[in-house]
Amino acid sequence: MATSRAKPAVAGTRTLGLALVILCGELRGLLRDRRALFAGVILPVLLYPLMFLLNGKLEQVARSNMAEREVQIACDFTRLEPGLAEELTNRLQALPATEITTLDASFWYANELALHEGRQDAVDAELREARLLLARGPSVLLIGGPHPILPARPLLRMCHSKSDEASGEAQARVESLLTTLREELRDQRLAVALGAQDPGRWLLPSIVDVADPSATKGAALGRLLPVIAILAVLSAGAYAALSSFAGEREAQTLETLLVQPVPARAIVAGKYAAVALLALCAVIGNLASFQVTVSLGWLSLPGLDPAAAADARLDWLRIALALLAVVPATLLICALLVLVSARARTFREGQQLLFPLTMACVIPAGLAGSTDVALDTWTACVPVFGASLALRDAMRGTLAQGPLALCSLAHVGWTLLCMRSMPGTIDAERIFATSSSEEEQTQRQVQSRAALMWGLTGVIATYMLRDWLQSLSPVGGLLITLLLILPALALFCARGVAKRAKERVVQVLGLVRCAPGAVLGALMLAPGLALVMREWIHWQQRLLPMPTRALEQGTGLEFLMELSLPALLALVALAPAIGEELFFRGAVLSGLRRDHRPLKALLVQAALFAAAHASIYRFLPTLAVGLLAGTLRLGSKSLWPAMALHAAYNGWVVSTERFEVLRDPAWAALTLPGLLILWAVWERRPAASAALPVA
Amino acid sequence: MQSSPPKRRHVWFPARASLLVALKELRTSLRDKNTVLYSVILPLCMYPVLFWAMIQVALVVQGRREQTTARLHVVASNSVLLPAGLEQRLVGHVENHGDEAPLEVELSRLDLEPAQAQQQARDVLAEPSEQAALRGDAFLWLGGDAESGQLFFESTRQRSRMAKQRTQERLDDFVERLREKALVANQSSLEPLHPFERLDVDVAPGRDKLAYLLSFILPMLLVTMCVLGAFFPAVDLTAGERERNTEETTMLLPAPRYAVHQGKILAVCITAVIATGCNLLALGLSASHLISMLGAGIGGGLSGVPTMALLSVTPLAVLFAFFVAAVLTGVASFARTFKEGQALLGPAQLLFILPAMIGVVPGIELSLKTACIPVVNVVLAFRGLLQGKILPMAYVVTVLSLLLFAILSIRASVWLLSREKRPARARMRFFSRRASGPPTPQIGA
Amino acid sequence: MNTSTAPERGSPPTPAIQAKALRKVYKDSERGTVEALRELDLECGYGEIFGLLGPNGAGKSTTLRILATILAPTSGSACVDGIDVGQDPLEVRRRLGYLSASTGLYPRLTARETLEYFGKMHGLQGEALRSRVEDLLRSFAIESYQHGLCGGLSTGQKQRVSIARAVLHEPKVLILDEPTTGLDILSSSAMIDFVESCRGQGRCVLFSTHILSEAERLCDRIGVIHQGRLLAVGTLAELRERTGKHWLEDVFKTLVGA
Repeated sequence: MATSRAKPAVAGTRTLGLALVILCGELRGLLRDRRALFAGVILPVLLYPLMFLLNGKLEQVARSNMAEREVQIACDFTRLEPGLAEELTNRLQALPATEITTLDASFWYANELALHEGRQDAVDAELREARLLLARGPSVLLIGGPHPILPARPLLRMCHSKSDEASGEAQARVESLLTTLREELRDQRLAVALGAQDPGRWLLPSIVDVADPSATKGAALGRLLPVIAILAVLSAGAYAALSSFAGEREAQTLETLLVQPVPARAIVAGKYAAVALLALCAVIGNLASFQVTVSLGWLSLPGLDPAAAADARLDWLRIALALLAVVPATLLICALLVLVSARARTFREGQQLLFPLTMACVIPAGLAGSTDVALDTWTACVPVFGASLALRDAMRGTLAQGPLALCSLAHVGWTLLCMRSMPGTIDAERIFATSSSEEEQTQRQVQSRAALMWGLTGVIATYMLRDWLQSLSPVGGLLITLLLILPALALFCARGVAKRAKERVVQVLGLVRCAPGAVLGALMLAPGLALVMREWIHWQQRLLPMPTRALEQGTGLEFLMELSLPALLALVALAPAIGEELFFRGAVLSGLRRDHRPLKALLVQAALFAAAHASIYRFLPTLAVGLLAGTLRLGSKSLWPAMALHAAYNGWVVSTERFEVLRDPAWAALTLPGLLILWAVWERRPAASAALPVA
Repeated sequence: MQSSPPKRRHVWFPARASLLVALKELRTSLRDKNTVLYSVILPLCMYPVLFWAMIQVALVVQGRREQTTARLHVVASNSVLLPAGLEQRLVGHVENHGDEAPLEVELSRLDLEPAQAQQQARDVLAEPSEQAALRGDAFLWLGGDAESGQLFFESTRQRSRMAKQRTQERLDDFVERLREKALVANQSSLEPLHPFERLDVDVAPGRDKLAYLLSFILPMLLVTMCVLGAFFPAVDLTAGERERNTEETTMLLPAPRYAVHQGKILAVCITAVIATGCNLLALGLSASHLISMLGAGIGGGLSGVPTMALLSVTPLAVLFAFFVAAVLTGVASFARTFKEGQALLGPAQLLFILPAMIGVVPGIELSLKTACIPVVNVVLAFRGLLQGKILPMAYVVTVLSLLLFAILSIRASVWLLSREKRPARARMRFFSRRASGPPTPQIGA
Repeated sequence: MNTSTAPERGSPPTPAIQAKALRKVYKDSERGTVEALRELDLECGYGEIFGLLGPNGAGKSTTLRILATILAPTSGSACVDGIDVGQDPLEVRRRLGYLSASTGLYPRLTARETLEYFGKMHGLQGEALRSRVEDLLRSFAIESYQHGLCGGLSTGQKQRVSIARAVLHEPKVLILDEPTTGLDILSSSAMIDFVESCRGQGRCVLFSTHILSEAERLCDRIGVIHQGRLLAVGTLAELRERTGKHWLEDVFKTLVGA
């Protein structure tokens, strides 16, 4: 034994052999566990038939219920031209389950001009009148008459209520009837007026969909399959991972295992293999049952004609491709499950730890099905999401080998990465660590954890409160958020930090004197930073284009452009520099820095700062600004340079909108002297830059 | 022992003991960091984050879609008159419109038979295509008359759908203008283009509309959240107690066992109500935030919180929470450990969520019959109340049946909880008790 | 409150604990029907410490749990402090203190809250409750950690809180199921001291153990239980006499017939 372990090659096979032994043991345990079997085999297999049957039944009931719904339509066509009135009445009477009654529309005749002009009193009166009439039984009121301005054109007014099921159904019926009628009348009249000259005769094509039924069906399934396959993997894998890691830790048998002469690698590999096997079993069973269900014609999906679904078969090739797409994802998800559940001390804790992971896997899978993101080089590499896209495309029959191979490779790569850190999770020290030593560890990080909590609170608070306050009053909302809420949060956070560190709050916030050179240097960085950001956003627009609707709608800050320059600068440059710097650079960063290395503290703080801006398009720019301001704060031990930079940067950006002169890139040249000044300031006091604020 | 204080105690004592137990359980579960995290903090943070992520994803997807170029192949017969500006319009350059989503148009003149046109359409749309030059996302064939104008696309491909939609919209717009010009040239009026005008007036107040919208979402949400909110404490107070070794301690309480179990069910119920309330509050806040962010287009019609409708639902929801708490506590009592309890979660959830799904189907209404089916009746009653329907008898029956089921399930789960640990024995006892007429005094009763 | 003295009222014929022909049958899915107790008779009086001695699975815990109304007997009857466990289990629980290794403390209540909770359950209120709790905190030296959650206490501290919980209502009868199992030397000797102190207070203590030295040191009378039957009852001297062996270990082996 001892000699064989000395040779690496033999040790490798030995590890493998041990892993196999552990795998067999684990599998035996799992297969004897009825619940593991249920989650891993029975549930995934039964899921499809059950779901499709239920869904089909429900949809059928809903459809027949709505179609059979008796509705009443009250009409007044007395002022309509007789031909149209008759045509309308005939068509309405031909509607199934619909009763036509007459209506006294004298109110509308009396007020037609006022209604057309949209006078408030008339509109209110109409609402009252219509509600009154609708309350007497009819679901929809239909009033015909000449258009008040263009007398030759008839106007049909339909009053309905969107808070009533019957009214909605009646409205849908009338609407489809009116749309067809309008099209038919148009065609007739255009034929009379233009005859062969009508350009629509040769320019308006009929629409032909060349997709065959199996492709349609595949597309419908592609929307659904990723989520369900991922859920099957999760349900089987999670149970297996929990019972073989957290469960075993709870039963204290992991201890027994760890004192055996077996490397941790082998233990983890064996357990991981067992989990992955069960999950693979689940996903294969799931896909097979899916194929059987589909070939039995039990399929019923939203947006799919049941008749078409019944006779279209899905070929095995698609299922095979789907399997190829989902297996690497299964391996990855199992690795993640193992990583997470190995951290849990008890089954219960593990279950709770797994919840975020479940969400993080299911949401991308759902997105992959329901959006039209293409599977390309980038998306294929995104964990779980890429595989879900591949699965979707496999179902649609549009999956090419290239992306599939890339996606599989990427997922295997991620899995290997996860597996590398797996042995560390069951290292003996952590397992035997008593709760008190763990408590001690958390005690040690109390400052940073508190700072993080406050940071998150601030992010959520600004996100929710800022928009709400701004909807009440644009300027006031901005001011209250920046000058009241954020400073208050900063104060609370800093007070906690100060109390624990036995310092003064002012010191924690960094409101201390600093070299004037540092402030000057920070100010001079602004033009250069603005230039870099502009270029960056320009470049980002190509990769992450903003939709035109969002561009047109803007950020809701248009009112700023109407302000005078001093007011604008106070609002956009000064206020954020005070509020945001106090909170993020003052309180949060200073709390984080007490437990973390500078880089980690800076990154976390900048990420929070970027998240508070609540836009994916501004995430990286704000992150960069946050990093720079944070560096200034840590470097100078004072908040003033960071505030100066923030104010100058914001001020510069809005000023360039107003003054053409400032757009010259040459201004960025100021950056260099700025950096020089900062360097000089810190060179002069080397101790200051080295001695970072530590409790 | 003194005789009078115990005698006096007997009347009120069980209820007081229940309350004491409930208070203690609540206090301890609120001290559990995990419970607080999952029933209060997580919902309060999760929904804003989730909704924010939704908006960002929608923006990114839309941005990328708008930027994606689709390719359209147009084949027109030599005889077809193609009006000036058609190609420009298709490509998307229009005055006072700004740039539109990009559509690459490749136009050629060729006389095709219908069969040939279909073949070419397949060639163009085939994927992967043999000839790169031929590749396109949609194929428009203009053969010269109404029958031979066809726009081919492939509905399962996103780009093809985009190409079709862009082509169709732009052609419609283009033809409309041409028609107007032609009518003016013919010196006839523009009336043939407008046989009649239509005006839809929605008379429902914004508050009612929101309530109506909620009536389809809220019942399912209430049921799901209530079940999820109740399950965790239910397992915690049964299997969890066993795991923490305090079951025996609880059994030694000098209070009737049914009172203890009722107290536990009460605690579960209150936790469920708190969790549901937090969830709904967070969801409501985030949703209203979302609506206000999306702007007038979507959220404009929905204004005002339907306070009365929501208030009218509350008592029913609390009653329902009791029912759920009782059933789930009963179910959880089968579990010996937390692990087993978690495994029961799935089936127990289905028990409630499947009937709730039936209740969401439009067209099914609360009637005297449906009012007697548990869960379904609650969902339908929620919907009816939110829609402002007046069905007094049905509501009364719902409340009565819910009350009945709640009491039955409380009794059943108290019985389940008072079992000794071996179920087989407990079952035997149950039958023997029913057979033996007058109830014999039982331990734990 | 309930500070009346039962022994004065009760004459010797009413023992503190009395069990007659107790039977307990379990249905077990793996082992079939298991007879845990077969016709067990038991009697102990006030001011007596009675030790129930037997190997694992002999029926010690079952007996004690039946007496504590946690389990119901299949047949037979038992009285605690004159109250039938089948007739009025609630009253039995009011008069009895029970403690075992599995009688855990609620980990998320503080020591003080635990005592208050049980005090309220026993009908104590207001000033009476407060003074009783203070009393207990003082006499068991819990004061220093009274506001700590029970989950975070050390084993010895937990044990003290447990004992305080068991004697909170000043029961005349104490039932202790292997009270020293899993305790270190100091804690178990504290427990033994506590049991001894009960004798002076006129309480009846019934405890089970498989640690012979404990039984030897504490018990007024010893009952040897094996396979659901009480094989012998008597003082140590009586048992020695009956078996002719000196060491309790040998006495036990002879009785069990191993």
